[in-house]
Amino acid sequence: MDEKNSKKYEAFYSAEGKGIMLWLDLAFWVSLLSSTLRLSTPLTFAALGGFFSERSGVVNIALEGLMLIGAFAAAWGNLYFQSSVAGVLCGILAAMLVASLHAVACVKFKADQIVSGMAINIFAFGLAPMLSKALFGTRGSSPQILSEIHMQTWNIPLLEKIPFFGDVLSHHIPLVYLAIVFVFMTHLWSKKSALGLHHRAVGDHPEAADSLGIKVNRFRIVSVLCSGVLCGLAGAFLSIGHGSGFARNMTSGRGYIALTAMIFGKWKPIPTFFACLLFGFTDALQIRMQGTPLPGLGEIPPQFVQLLPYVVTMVVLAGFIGSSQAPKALGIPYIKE
Amino acid sequence: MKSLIRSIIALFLALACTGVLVSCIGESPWQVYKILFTSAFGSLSAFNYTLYYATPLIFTGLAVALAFHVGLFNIGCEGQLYMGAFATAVIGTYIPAQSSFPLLWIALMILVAFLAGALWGIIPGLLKAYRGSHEVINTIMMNFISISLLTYFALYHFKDHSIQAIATPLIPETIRIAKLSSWFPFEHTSPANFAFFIALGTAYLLYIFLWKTRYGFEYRAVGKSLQVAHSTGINVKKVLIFSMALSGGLAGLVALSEVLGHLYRFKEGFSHGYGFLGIAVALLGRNHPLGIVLASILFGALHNSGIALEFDTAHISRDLVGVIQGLIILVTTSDGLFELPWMKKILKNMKLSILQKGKA
Repeated sequence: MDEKNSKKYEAFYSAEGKGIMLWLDLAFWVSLLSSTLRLSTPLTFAALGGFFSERSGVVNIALEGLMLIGAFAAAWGNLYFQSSVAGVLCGILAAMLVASLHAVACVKFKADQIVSGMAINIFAFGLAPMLSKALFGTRGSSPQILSEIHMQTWNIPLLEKIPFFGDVLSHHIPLVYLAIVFVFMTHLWSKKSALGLHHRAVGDHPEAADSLGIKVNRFRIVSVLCSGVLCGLAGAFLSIGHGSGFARNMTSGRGYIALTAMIFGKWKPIPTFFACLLFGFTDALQIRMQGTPLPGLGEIPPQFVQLLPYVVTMVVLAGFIGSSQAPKALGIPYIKE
Repeated sequence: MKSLIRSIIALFLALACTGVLVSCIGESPWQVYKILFTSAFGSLSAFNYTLYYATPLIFTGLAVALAFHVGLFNIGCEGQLYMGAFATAVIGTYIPAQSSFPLLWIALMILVAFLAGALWGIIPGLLKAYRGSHEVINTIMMNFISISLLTYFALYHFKDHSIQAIATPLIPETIRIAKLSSWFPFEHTSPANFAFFIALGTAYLLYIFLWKTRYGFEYRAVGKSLQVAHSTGINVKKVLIFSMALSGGLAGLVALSEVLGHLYRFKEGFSHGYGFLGIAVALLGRNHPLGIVLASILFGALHNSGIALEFDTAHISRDLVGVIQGLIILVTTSDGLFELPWMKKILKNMKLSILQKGKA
């Protein structure tokens, strides 16, 4: 290599050059977008969980804690039964059990729903590491789930052949596809089915729903249990889908982000899904921006990129979304006259 | 009286549930209860740690309670106390090491802690008053923002390079708050400091403010009903904004016990969820300053005994404390639970026995 070429080579791989080249690279975009899809999956599940609970009129800030319990139970199930399907089912079951506490407290005992949600979070953040210590011997993490029993990725026939899109949309674990299917199913269910109509009526006008013969409180309890199921899926994705084992605090605020994604999406499934994709994108971007400078701006500290979803949420809440978007009876226990 | 009985019942119910859980794991619940008690109150040094953990909880509990009285939900105490701690730790390093008026400097630092917390609290207040956006989401967001932002600043701009942890340099002797051990027969190394008494004083001041001043009356009126308060001529927006600022300021005062009183620096992750536990404390103390002080000591005791629990049992970790705390909150907030027939019976019997004792 002569001197001229080697200089060019150096410039090419210098900090700034590398930064610019990265953004023009197709492979970079494939990995960025496909990881956006992966990272938004737990958010989508949990946000749909929030949708079920809040549309029926029960505030649910316990998503975070429910996810953590789901993550723990899924890891345990996967290790104990040596099967990822069993792991997912365990995650669902455990999160549903804890959600039932929230349901009973809020619906039957007329508890303050925000306080109860906080209580569930504190409870779950104690329970998961405590059980981890009792079952695995350490409060920090579970043993690693080896690849033989780990959830395998699926390829979608036809779709995987399309260049770029195939690479982004295919080669994911089944839970990623399931989340997307759930979004559209929930949308159709909520808009087109009688039960979906009842669901919204219970959250907006419980008195009217009651006079039509809908059992308001039973409906709400089932809705909160549904949110438990979905949070269980979200947790299972974190511990046995995306990761390979449970770790303490592994939800790291995703439950709250999911909740804001749902508010951002105005309590509707499809806009909520897009909000989740947005938050997933900033998360994926933040991982890739560590150490790579942006053209023109230089290197942005990862902490600042991490802040992005939170700031965006606050601006959006202040600017565009009024309280009129929320279900009308949100947070108010229903007491039959 | 009624609320006290309810809080006590909540405590016992939570402990009973925990007992069931503990026996499922295969430990003896009685052993656990014994450890919980002795490691919190069993010795002078144990009691000292209990007071130390209770101090920040008093501040955050008061902060949450103040907002509660106005009908607001301040979940942002965690972010606000981080702001207060960081501001005092950073500004504190500029205070001269020798001074003949240390009390003045300490008073200044208290003001700094208060203002920094208030700054973080006023933002959701403003957004609530002018844009109608819900303070719960905003304060949760501001928690993340403040912790992320301050970790960045502590790591890249104010880091003490002599230690490995992400922390700012030590503050000078001038503004350090004395340890309780300098007056009381505690061990020299024990962490509890005079911020505990400042916390008690703050609780008393808040009581005076809320129940004995015109402003306090306005605040509680807004909490009862926004519309009624508005139509009686109270400037509701002003109350919303300033109550959030005051609440944030109270949370910021946690810096007194942590930064000025014990660590002498800002350290990443120094708060053991004090902001969130403040909600529990306010709730258990029924939003009354005296109740909050008692509830803080209870929660401080629980927090303290968690570590002993881990050492003295084979299968239980300190996380059991979180489980107990969560259950206490859940039971306390479940109003309907106390209207069940069997619960009403218990309440009635307890009241009768207390009345009889009072007569005898």
